[in-house]
Amino acid sequence: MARKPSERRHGKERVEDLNLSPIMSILVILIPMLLYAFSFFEVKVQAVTAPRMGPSNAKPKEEDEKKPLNLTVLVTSKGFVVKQQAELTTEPEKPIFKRSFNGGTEEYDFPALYSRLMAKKKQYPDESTINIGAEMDIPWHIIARTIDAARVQLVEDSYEDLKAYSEAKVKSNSKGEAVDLFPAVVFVVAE
Amino acid sequence: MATNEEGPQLEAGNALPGQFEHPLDYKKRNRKGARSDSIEGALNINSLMDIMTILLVFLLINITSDPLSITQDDYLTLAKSTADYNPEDSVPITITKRNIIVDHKQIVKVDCASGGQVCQEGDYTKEGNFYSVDKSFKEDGSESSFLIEPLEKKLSALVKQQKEEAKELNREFKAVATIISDRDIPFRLIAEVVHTAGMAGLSDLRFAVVKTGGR
Repeated sequence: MARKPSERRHGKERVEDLNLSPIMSILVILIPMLLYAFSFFEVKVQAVTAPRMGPSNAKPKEEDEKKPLNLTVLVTSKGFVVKQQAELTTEPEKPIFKRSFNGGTEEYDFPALYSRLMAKKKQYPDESTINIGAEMDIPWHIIARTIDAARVQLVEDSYEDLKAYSEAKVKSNSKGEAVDLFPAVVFVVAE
Repeated sequence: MATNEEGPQLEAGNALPGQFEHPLDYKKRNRKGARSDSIEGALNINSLMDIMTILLVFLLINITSDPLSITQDDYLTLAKSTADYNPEDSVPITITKRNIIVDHKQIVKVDCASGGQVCQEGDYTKEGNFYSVDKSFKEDGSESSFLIEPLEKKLSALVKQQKEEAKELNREFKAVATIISDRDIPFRLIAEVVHTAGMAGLSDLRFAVVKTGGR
């Protein structure tokens, strides 16, 4: 009996490969375009309440008869000025001047600001609002760092060194959430 | 150059149409064809296609899920922060070193002064420049005013449009503005934009920052 001729040799079952070249061409154009539009940095947001023009006054809660702390941090070209409700002030707050860390140029003393705010939080644990204002020519990145210092509690209550403060981890509660310091930030513009 | 009287010399299997092919050439061509058929093949790009497809899907998901599509350059560099709140759908107001932009349109020009002089092209990367909006754009043309009129007009129109859209879709309108500001913009200009946004009905504000490990 004659054998059946090989189908492979006669090419009856040969399937043409799908031509992927046009798809590849599209992808080669599309991927660089998307990579260009892709953000390689993580964008987050800081929540701030709109400013009130003129001297800052925190709204007292109706049920709360206690005087509001009205804690205010003003960023000046020389450093920070911390203020609070005059009736709750026993002695005037000392300004936190810029200082040189490890012999470098003068920088804003964020560790001292955090330590001062942490002491205020211990004194007034129910207070959550802080007013932040600045001199008109202070750049936004300094104000953003000031908001960072006021927003959450860190592991330690007080920091001396900028590096230790910068690398400090956020204090978290039993649920793993960050413990707030003064989370309600209000912009103030002193005219 | 030596020429053949019968025409150009042809290699085996390369006979021109209408010409007779030498029987020896025909045999050569057939033998070569039988051998080379199994050796020759296209470049296998299937694995490359897999990588490309995965990359494409990843990039598309990331880009479409980002409510603020920010491209940083010399005129817009975001401040760094340890803030951990994700951006949400809101009205974005971009303050670069050259313009205030809302809805991809330049609304107000930002003036730059470097050492008392108007900034030149190379001055924008320097520290210590002062950025401001000309008083002609402010309420009553007053230098001390915090209301930037063209911005207020644009934001009010945008808020009105978004309120109508929310009403048609039976959704709650959130009066939230996200301010995407360059790190060197002074507090005065930020306060002006924030005040103007407040006047347009956007009292809840978010400031876009780049997340960083150290504070």
